[in-house]
Amino acid sequence: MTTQEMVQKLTGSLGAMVDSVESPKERRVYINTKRENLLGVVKHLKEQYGAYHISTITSFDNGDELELLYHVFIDTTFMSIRVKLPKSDPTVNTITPILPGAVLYEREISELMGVKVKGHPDMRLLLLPENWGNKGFPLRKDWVDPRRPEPPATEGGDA
Amino acid sequence: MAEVRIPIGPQHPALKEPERFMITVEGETVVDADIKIGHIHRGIEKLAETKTYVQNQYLTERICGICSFTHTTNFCQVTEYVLGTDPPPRGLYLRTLVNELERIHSHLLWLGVAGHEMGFDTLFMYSWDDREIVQDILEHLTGNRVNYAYNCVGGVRRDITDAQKQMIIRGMDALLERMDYYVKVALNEKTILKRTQGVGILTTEDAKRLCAVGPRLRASNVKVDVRKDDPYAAYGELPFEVITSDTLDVHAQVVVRALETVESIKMCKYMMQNLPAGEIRVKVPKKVGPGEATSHTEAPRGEDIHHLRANGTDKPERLKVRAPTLANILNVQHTLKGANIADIPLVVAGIDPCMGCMDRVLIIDKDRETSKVWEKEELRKYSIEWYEGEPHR
Repeated sequence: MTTQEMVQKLTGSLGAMVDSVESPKERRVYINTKRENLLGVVKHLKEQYGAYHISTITSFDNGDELELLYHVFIDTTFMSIRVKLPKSDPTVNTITPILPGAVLYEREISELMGVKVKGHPDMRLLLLPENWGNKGFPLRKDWVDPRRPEPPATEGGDA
Repeated sequence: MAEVRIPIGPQHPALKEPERFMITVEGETVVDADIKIGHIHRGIEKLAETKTYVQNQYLTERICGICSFTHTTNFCQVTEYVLGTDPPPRGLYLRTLVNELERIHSHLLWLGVAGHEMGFDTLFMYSWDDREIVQDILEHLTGNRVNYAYNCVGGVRRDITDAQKQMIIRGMDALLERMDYYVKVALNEKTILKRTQGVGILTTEDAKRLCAVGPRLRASNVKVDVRKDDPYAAYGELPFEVITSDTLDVHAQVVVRALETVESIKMCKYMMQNLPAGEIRVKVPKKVGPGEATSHTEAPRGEDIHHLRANGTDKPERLKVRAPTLANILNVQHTLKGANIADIPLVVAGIDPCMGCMDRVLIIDKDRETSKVWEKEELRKYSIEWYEGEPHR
């Protein structure tokens, strides 16, 4: 099956659960959906297309919204499911009941980007130190390192 | 019997990627394992947003000390995908060549480490000696033994001479001969069989469920290899087999890695005999995008991913990196359950992680309120002596 045929098949079978399915490149497919449909889409991919491998979750800070890309590798196609969340309410359901391999990646987006993952079995800090407290979410664009002030502007040429 | 919790790790200052395992044991048997990583989280994703694309080539090179080239390959590929640039065929072949040389040196290094962990130091000496053949080639080709600075967006930075081509072919012939010996050792040597067979079994279903990657996944009899499934660089034109094993244990990983090394050596030789002529790189603009792309490669340890979002400036808007060891942590946690304390070093070494985590072992006996700090060497000695003492299996 070519990637274009795959896009058509996905558009047909996912129906109203997705806003659009597109492919910018061979073997790359982007599925744009809403957060309330995320679990449905992942479940559909698992049941109908045999998806079992989640590669990782990429998170973006787009100003007043957060964006997530769930990368699922099926046979030869690399699929990315795109979900957007308002920053005022950045909650999303966990997909670990369907793809248990996502457990570490959901912890990662939660502590680094401040996504609230609902229903996750284990929300302890994964990468950040245990005494991180409320020093913020480092991957957000407006985050400033609280431990170190901005370096003073250097005068003249190279030091 | 009372349960005892044993923290292992987190780190050894000389090695890379420390992790801490909290092991709960009942007698000799591990009943639960918990993981804490992030001890050397360097914030590279955040840092990449403040660097130009040229600087990022050097930054991504420093994500890993062993498989540095796979990260630059990924970074160059995502940037090329967004730009719509196709590197010339000769550049792609040379990029693939260094990727495969890296796999050979990484697998030989792992074979030595695994030999050391099971008390078979002769194997460690031999395989690290033979690894020098590859390291010399890499040094001749790129100028460096690690962090080669060979990749660039649009191709590679140095061409190869006929003399270097001959040197690589000679080196690969010598290594092929040595690999015969290693494959024989991996399949027949008593020490290896005794320590690895039936240890760290990960079933096919569990490997898929826990999203294992790389040799660990193929040792669980799943035929997945990014080089075959989603060919990048020159892999689409190369003849090679994807190696799998159906014994599912640590021994399967030894066999998969040994046979994979043989495939890589043959690929390097093939590439040198069929190297296309022409340019090695194309010029690319300094400003990239707007656009986004994902690239994944088969690193020596498994699937490695970069995702780039470019915003039209000379710096990325966001660069996401997922290295293969993170994907393999879950299955180590799973396979440790039910293992013997003496098998911990091998089960953890099985995925080829960074061995830093095994350096310090603190044993706390809660009931007796005593604690004991174990150095890595003590744990290794304990496990070797435990197996020498009596036939446990």
